Amino acid sequence: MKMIQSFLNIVFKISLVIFLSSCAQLYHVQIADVAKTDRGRVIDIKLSETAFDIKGAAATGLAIAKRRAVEKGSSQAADNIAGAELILALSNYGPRTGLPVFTDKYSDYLLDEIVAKCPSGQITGLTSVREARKYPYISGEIVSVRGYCID
Amino acid sequence: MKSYVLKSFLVFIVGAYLSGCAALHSVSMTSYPTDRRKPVEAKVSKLVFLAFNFNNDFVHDLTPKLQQQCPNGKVTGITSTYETRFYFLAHRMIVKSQGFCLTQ
Repeated sequence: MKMIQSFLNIVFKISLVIFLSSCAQLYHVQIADVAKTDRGRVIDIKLSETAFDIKGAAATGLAIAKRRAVEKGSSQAADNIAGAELILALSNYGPRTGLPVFTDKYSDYLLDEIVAKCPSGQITGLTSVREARKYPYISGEIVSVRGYCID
Repeated sequence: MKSYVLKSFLVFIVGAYLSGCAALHSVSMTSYPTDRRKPVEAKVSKLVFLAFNFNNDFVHDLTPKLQQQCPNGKVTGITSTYETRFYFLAHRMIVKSQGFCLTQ
């Protein structure tokens, strides 16, 4: 009995670590020209914006509400919830990269950040990455850049 | 006869799983040079089991790999592609770059 409890405890801890640690998703990679230098100093820039999975959270909430409505035998309430679900699905229709954020201006400061980290302006081997870190119902939408600054 | 059909079906399924399906996510290019005598190519990849990918740092190995192939020149006209190969319970993320080494 104690052994089973210990085993379950380990499984729970592993599950918690997996649940809490983010999963990374890669959307786009771009490599710029690589100059004939000894690569210079590495500069890393990361800009991000938090996104909420409103659709996912609402779908979970609606599923719970729908189940309760069915349990209570109220088909009218279940129909209303199904209608709300349809409106939500149609409102979120369309192609996208990652989860929608409230503002997409977070990447506008990329050049300012590059200039601040490399005042000489001589940068080579720029690798631009669009990625995301995903958590339950939340994600960090990230634009990251790595380059080599020649001082 | 029945066992032959089953065997063929099994071989087909195994073949389909092992060959994988591919998805192309992005393609980008930089300015193309007129001198294209020395092409260079580099590839980095990462095998991900289910969705357990905790970072994308493997992409940063690509630039040094290109640099190594053109130590005294400039790599330009770089075409970068990011694609995914899907396997059973896993997928491989592949980033490839092809360019041209210009030496002066």
